[in-house]
Amino acid sequence: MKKYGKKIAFIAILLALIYIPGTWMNAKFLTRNHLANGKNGIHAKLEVEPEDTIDILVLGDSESYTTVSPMQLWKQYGYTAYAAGQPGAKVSDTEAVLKTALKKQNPKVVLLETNVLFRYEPTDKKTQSLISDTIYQTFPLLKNHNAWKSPFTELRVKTYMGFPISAKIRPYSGEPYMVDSKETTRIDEQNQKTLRKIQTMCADKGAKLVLYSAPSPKNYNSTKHQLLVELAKAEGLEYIDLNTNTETLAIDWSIDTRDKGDHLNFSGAQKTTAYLGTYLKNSCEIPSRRQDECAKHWNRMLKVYEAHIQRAEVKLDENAKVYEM
Amino acid sequence: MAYNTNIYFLLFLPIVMLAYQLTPQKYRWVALLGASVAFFAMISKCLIGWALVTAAITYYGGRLIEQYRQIGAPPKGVLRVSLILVVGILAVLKYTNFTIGIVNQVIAGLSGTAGLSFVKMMVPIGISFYTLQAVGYLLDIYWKRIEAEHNFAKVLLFLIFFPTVMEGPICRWSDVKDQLFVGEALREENITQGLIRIVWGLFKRMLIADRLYAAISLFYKPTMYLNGIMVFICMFLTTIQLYMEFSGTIDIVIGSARIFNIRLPENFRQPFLAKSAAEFWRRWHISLGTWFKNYIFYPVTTSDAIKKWNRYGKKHVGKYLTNVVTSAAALFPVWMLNGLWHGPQATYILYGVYYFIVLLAEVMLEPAGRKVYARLGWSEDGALVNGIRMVRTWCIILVGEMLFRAQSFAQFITLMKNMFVGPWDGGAFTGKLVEVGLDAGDYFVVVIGMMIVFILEWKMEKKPDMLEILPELSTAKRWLVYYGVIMAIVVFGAYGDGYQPADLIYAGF
Repeated sequence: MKKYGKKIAFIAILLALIYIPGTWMNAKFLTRNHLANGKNGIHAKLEVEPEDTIDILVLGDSESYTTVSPMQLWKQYGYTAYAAGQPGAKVSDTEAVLKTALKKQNPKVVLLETNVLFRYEPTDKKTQSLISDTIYQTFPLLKNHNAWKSPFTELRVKTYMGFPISAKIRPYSGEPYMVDSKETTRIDEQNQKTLRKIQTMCADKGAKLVLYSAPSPKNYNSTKHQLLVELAKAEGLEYIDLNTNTETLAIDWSIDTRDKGDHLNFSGAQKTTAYLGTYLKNSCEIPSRRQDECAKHWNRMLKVYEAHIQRAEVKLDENAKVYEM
Repeated sequence: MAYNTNIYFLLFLPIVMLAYQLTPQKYRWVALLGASVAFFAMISKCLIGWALVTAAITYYGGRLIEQYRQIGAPPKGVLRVSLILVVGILAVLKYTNFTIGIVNQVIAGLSGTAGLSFVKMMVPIGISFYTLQAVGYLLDIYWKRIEAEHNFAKVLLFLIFFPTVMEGPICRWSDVKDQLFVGEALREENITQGLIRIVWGLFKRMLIADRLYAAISLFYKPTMYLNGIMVFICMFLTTIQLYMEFSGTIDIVIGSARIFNIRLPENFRQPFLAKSAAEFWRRWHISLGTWFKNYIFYPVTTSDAIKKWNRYGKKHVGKYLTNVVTSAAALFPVWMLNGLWHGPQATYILYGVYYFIVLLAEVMLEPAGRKVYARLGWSEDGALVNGIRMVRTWCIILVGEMLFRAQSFAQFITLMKNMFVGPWDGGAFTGKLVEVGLDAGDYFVVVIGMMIVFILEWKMEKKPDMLEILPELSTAKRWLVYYGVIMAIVVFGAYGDGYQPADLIYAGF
């Protein structure tokens, strides 16, 4: 009996060590202590946003939060937006983020960046993910175990309602990429099903779901464009492809990308945000929140954001000169 | 499903343990066979058919050798046919497209016309590992070291035993047969030892190998430019990542087998404490080195031709040259086959050539080195000479692992050139360190993790059974170690969203 008692005690202490710290790691604790980072951090950040204060929700992978600057939309239109994308997100991750957001928010528009639809998840990985999700729900410490890295990451990347300001330039010097592409690709059936779920979740909350593709020579081509046009038509969704509009947007690939055409830097993001802002103003009914209670908080953030932008512009000019030479 | 996935630990292994324990002792090996077939089929699906064919050839080959011998007929023909068939399957499945590529280059060079088209080949998991085991089994029967097994299913289990099928260690029939089929009940002692080994493997993998994985992949992207210091860091991290990944997986493998009281041979023994490249290969991927030593090196050195040469050489050209030629004759096939075994890729073959040259150079330069040390008055076993030898061996290992990991030989040459030509730093050092997706936190965990692993390994050099005697510590000390390691994995492990576990690199061979 003593032998078994020892074993039970060992396992009980181990479970307690893994379980108890997790119970403290709720959204408030994580955000207050700047511990909400990485892919999972977005859930905690959304959970602590005051109720019913976000009208535009931007979802997707890193292409999403590098194309929409919520502070710019606030400054220009008084819209409250949140760039809630996650690095390397799969469409199922995006569905989970939307679920978290809809607990407290009633967005008018959900902008879904389409790169997630092309991220294929093999079946055996799905089983693994299912097991991981179950464990993470039981032991939040495992889900948030990377919180210890916050002092290292937070210092490097400050975000404004999910938007990071990047002044880095690494030009894209390739050929025009939206010409006839020979690439054969598809949108996985499971991903399409998840998109339909997202559509239903949005419809239930009265939010308009809009698909959009960020300008990115690395991630888009004419084949993908065609697939997305057909998908949007089949699902009855609006679709904006910013890749076919780069001239209107005035995207300059020698200064507007931070990593050779994979993502935009803040110079590029300002252009796409301006374009999407005009679309939102003309095609969606979104109220200005300038007179709301939350305006104070947003204005305070805007001041910090603008100071940061000023510094970033200087840095951007310096970086641009390197490539001019 | 790989050894480092939650499906393996939380579903597969517990189910196998339960099924094994509930099966009567006599048939417990059948439970292991069922688990091994399921494991194989889950990864390679119907390609398990190839493993069955290899097992059938191995089984019938072994039986026929035995029967030929019983009736007094020479079994050499049976052995040859069996080996050709077993190795032939590996050659066709793994090397057809590589051969077509070479033929096409020759055709293009000669006539400038298009050559043969490539064939789509699906290769079953672990084929390189179980083929070597099959060859060893047949040769051991032929050399009368073992008797042929009379049960086909047992031969199949020996070849595809689930813990070893993906990455080895490459076992000999005589090493495992008694343990595989005895069906001993699960015992607390074995489960504890197995779990300790598994947790230690996870520590190496999740804290170090998985954390470095994305960075290493980026280092070898064709578009990545690395300056001198970054090439050095790349070389260092590549070696560390490969070691932690491979040895960590082997720890999981050995631990998994140990749960069933099956003690697999060790595959690593503190390789970075080696004082020569030859010693390194006695400490790194030991089971592969042992296989080549038993089935290639010794047969060559004891062949009639080499014996004749030794007699002739000692009389006519002296002991030194005789020894060098004998070493070259035995090392050449070993290292060509070693390189080729890793896969149909020019860098792997050159990796074999590299070690052939290095090992031969060690043989050739050894007398000169001794003379130098003697002239300088340095003791050969002194700390200074040993230190110099270790640093020299590290340099050999680092360059070798970069060649092994490079996408092409041209990339390897570019990287080596960057180390010596062009800017050593160019002011871009810290930028590059961050650019490969690692932050200060990652580097911190990797450095601390490495220190823990290497301090323990240094201690294990004197006390090899350190992990084995862990359960003998007092409860307080033992629990402190267990909780410490487990919590380090839980908190500092590279897993979950944003991380991709490192591929089992040797599973691809």
